[in-house]
Amino acid sequence: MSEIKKTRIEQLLNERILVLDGAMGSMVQQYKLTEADYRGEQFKNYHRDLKGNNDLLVMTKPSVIKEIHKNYFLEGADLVETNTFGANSISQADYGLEEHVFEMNVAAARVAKEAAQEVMKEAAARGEKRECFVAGAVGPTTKTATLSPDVNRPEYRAITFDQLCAAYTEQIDGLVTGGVDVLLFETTFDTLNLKAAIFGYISYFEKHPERKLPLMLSATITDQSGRTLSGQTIEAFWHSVKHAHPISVGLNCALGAKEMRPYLLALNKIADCAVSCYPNAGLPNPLAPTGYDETPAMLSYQLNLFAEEGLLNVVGGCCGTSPAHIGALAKIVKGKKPRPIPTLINPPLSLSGLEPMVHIPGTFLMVGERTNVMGSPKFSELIKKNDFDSAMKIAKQQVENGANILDICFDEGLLESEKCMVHFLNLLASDPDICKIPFMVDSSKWTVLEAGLKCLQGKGVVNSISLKEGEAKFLEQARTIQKYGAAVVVMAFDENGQAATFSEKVRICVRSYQLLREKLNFTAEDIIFDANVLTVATGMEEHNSYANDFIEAVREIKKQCPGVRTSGGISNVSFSFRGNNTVREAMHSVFLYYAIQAGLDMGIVNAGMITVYDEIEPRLKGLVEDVILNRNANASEALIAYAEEVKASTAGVGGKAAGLADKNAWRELSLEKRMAHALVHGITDFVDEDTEEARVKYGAPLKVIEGPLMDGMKVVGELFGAGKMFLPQVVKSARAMKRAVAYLNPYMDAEKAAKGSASNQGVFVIATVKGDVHDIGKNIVSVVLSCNGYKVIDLGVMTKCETILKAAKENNADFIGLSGLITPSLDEMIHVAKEMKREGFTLPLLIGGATTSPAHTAIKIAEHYEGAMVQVGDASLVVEVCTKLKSTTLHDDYVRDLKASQKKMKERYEQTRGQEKFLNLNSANQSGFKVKWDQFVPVKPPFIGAKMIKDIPLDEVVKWFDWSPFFWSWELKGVYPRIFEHADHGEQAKRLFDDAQVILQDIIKNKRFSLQAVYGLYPAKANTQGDVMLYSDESQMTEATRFHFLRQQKEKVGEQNYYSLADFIAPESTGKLDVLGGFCVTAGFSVDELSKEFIQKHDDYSSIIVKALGDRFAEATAEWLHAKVRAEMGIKENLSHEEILKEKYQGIRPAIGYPTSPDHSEKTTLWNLLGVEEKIGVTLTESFAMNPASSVSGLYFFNEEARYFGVGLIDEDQLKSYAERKKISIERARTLLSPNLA
Amino acid sequence: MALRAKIILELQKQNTSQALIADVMAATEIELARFATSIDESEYSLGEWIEALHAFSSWEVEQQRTILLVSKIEYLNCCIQGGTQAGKLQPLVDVWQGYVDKFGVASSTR
Repeated sequence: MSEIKKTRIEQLLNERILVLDGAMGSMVQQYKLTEADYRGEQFKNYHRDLKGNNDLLVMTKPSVIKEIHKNYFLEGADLVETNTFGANSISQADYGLEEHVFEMNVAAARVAKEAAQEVMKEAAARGEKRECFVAGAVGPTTKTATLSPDVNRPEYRAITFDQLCAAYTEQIDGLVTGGVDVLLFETTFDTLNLKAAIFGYISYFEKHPERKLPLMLSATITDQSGRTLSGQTIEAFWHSVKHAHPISVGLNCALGAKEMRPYLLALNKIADCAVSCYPNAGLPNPLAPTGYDETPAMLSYQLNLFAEEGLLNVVGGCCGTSPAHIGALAKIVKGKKPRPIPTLINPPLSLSGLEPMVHIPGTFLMVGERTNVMGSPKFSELIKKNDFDSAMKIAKQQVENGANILDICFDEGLLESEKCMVHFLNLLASDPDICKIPFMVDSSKWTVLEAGLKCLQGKGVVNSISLKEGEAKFLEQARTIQKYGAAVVVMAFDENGQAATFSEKVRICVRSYQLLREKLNFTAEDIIFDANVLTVATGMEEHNSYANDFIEAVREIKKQCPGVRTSGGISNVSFSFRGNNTVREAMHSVFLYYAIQAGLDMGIVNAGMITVYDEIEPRLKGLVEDVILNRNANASEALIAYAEEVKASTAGVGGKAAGLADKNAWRELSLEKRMAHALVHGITDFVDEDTEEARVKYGAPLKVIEGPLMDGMKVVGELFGAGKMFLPQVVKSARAMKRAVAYLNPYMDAEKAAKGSASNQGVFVIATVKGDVHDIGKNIVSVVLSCNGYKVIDLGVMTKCETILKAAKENNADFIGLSGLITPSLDEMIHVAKEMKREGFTLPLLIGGATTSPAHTAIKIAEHYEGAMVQVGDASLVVEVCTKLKSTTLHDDYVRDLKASQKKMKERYEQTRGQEKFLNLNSANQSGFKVKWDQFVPVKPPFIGAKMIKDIPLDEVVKWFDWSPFFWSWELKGVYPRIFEHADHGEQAKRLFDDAQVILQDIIKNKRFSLQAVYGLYPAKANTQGDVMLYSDESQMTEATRFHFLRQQKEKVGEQNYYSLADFIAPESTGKLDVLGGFCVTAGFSVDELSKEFIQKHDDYSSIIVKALGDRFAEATAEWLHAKVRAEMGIKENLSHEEILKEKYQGIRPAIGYPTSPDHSEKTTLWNLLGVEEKIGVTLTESFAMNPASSVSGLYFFNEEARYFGVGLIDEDQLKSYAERKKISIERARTLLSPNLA
Repeated sequence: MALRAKIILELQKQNTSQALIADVMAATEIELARFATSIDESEYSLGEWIEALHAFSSWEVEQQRTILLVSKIEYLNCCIQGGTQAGKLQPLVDVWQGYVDKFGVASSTR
């Protein structure tokens, strides 16, 4: 086959990330078009309203559409989509415009192409090169082929595959005629709809090969279920559609970028083409101007993350996006490397139902055979009676018994096979428990097979085709199967009939393989050879080698036909022994044992008709092996004779009883052996009885689980691993195990309750308050409470007051706990207390977190709430506090003493406040620290503006760790490394440290965290009021921003300098230009993600370590970056790690919100200056906390005399001046600076 | 007014122990400068520091301990730094008392 020349778009996909446009609908809305606009001249007198039919505008108001396309191109889009989302006959039927569909698509393509050409021409006129492309957009239509619109008629469909295919083909024709560069089938919510489109696409270009265009596909995951509307996972979706060989596959719509990430990651792992992503601008928000949450900066930040991770080839926006969004995207992905497009080598057979089924070579797949009218009399009877509901139950049982694929066949003379196939498959599609696995449509009639394929949204299997009717027919059917995207079972039949011998089987299969591969390039892994399992021990000598021939043929076919799978109808081998299940089961087991070793990949089999290989009675096993492997000439007779013996022993009056007695012989074994036997054989009849006996014998339910039950499952595991048990048997074993555990559960619960260390000491609702993201301490408290029998409802971080109170009510909370690290959180705690009072709560409120204190709780919060309010400074104390509050004997005294002490603190506070002495502001300003500015030599910054550093090496930053705070977060006081010698907790600290090292090494080795930084340097000068102005360049023509600093004002005893940070920047009066820097570093959201991984494994300990390490990384990155910046500024130093931790370097990096600059809101100035959110995604909460929490930010002062200090208390005159400088109200300033006010 | 004089005046105003006055008299200029820095960098006035030091001295006597002035000052610094950023809500003497009750006072070393 000749190699297809790549189009320009395909070439570009390997060179850079292509940018797709954004939303069309919301852009059209901005034009406020009227009904007359929609009608235009052509439909002036149309009999129905047309307003809202945006697709029509390409015919009636093309200038609007063209302008929108141009705007997207001008913002940097490489591709625009034609305005044809609903331009198909199915969607246009709503307006009665079906007959205009072709014209609509041609017009849309032309309008978009005109826009592209104009933009390219304009660029050329400016001497720039632009390439602008048009993607013909094909939407999903308004109907679903997989789902019934009527819940009472699950088998009904409002649209058929053929109708969809026709509609799509018409649309494709219009778009291709209009001149699009590529086709884009998007917003797929029902994969069967897309498969119809793909069928149309392939067929269309088979007819018009000269017009061939590449194809892009995009699916929609509708919500956090992670599935399409029709229920498929993204992996299952890909397997269903990859036969289209698209140039890209991806996701669009319904979700924002962040929500899409897991599915994008999943697609990246499996797609061997380019990957696209064009999400919505976050989640819907009716109050936002675009109707969606995310601004261009927010969207581009998220998508940039994906680009940085190498996940993208094409990026764009969907609902809620605008040219501004696309512009921001285009800027941020410019120059970024596209995802390398992988080539899959030896890909496995991948099928799908709602879920993917990937066959791992060496494993055996079971194809359930009971939904086959030929193989199952019961099923056949139900279908003949039209009792499809009962027939569904058989299908379900197959899945429950472990079938990987379901074979469905209606080949019976009295049945209308096509209708039955369609009806049954449509019914199955309504039961996710069944249709999660792929289906095998089985028929000797091609029309039945094709009818079945038109019902499958998943990737199924056709059973079967062959060379029986010659090569032409074989290839024609195979080609059609390719267009449906199915795998195919090829029987070892040719024009001369069925292959019976080893050499015939191999010859026919090899011939079929060569035809499929050479003529059709049929994917090897989608070919499944059935080399015909034939019956042995028939009495005819020539039949004796059938089983062994099959086994050896499988071995040879796998060698000569690389990539293929093999299958067989297993029960065929034992037809000679119908009625003798003992022998049949043994034959199936032995046959499978050897066939699988030879490479058999799957088999059509009744799982209930296989016995465990090791459990076959030894004499029977020997006889069966002789037959299967054709080891001696008398093998058949010997087995027949044995079969007669078995028959005789179970025949007659006592026969059945005798048979049963044999069957139950294992009941005479010891308890442990009985339990193992039941598990191995999946027998549930005696589970309750034996489990009860074990419970009494072992004394505790857990000992039963850890003892005989686990021992039994271990045997199952070993047998399965050795190929002596098969999956459905393992599934049955698991059921028996679950039954036993379910029996023991009530006893385990009763035990817990009886112990009284109790499953529930009380319900504790805990949260980090709104605007605060810190939670290490809260998490430790949660763990401590849980270990002590409290039911903890942890609401996480940034929790609104309403959420806390609602949870407390819903869960009948006994306590509420609030946590906060930053000072604004204290105000939020006051708010919660007030709301609790207003809503009539009386339960205790516990307060904790670094920013809280008994004094603050007593003086500022307690007055707002009448219930008990306790500040708990140490996680280890929380249980004691709760115990006292719960205790009927201790409660009253405890609360009385508590309130008394709080009252005393408040009174002391009232007495002593207002006694501070201050300098007036003017005097304080004049008493600032005087740097020798006449000796100051300005340093030119190496650059002006902001820079970003991504993926800072973890192993480099770890060398900058200050470990002491790590221990403090665990409430282990001490300084590293001396803490290890601490008499009380030195040993614990060492163990904690060692455990942290394991996690740390994993973080470094596997790059679990992504350290990023943004920093900036700016020319700066200070004014006399304490402001520092920053400039965009040294001309000082443009003030980039200004920071407002406070000055010490409390009357001093000693040194008479009243410091402000502004003192360390050259005043404007000197005429000299200084430099002020700023930074933000983060360990990223991956800290939280890794922490959550541990939580999901119920490992709170490691999850807290992860967060503590995240903080250490953030701090160490700040230290690392500061050293780098000092070097860039020409500051020479030669300091040890300890000297650096002791801040012996020149200059300081004060954090905003801390003593030198106590107003947190100044962080917004820093954020805007550096573009922190856009560049590294760190956001500020409403309380100006940084999110993610493992982030550090601050300012850089380089003066050698710069030092840290605390602003301390300020007086009203400075408050007023500050409010004026910041242009905010005094009330607002008072709130921001409340900790600094007397 | 000289720093030492300022401090002694405040000590006398609050009727503190002679032992404490003697300590201040014996302190070097550098020790006094560091004391002044501690006061100036805290939320507390000289008077509040003296109040806390006076309580500390009384405690010393009760406990039959001897703690250097500079160590007492460092202990008070720790009490202040171990507090929150919520601003000055308690007199320094109460903050000190809370720490003494919870953690005690380790032997003083230089």
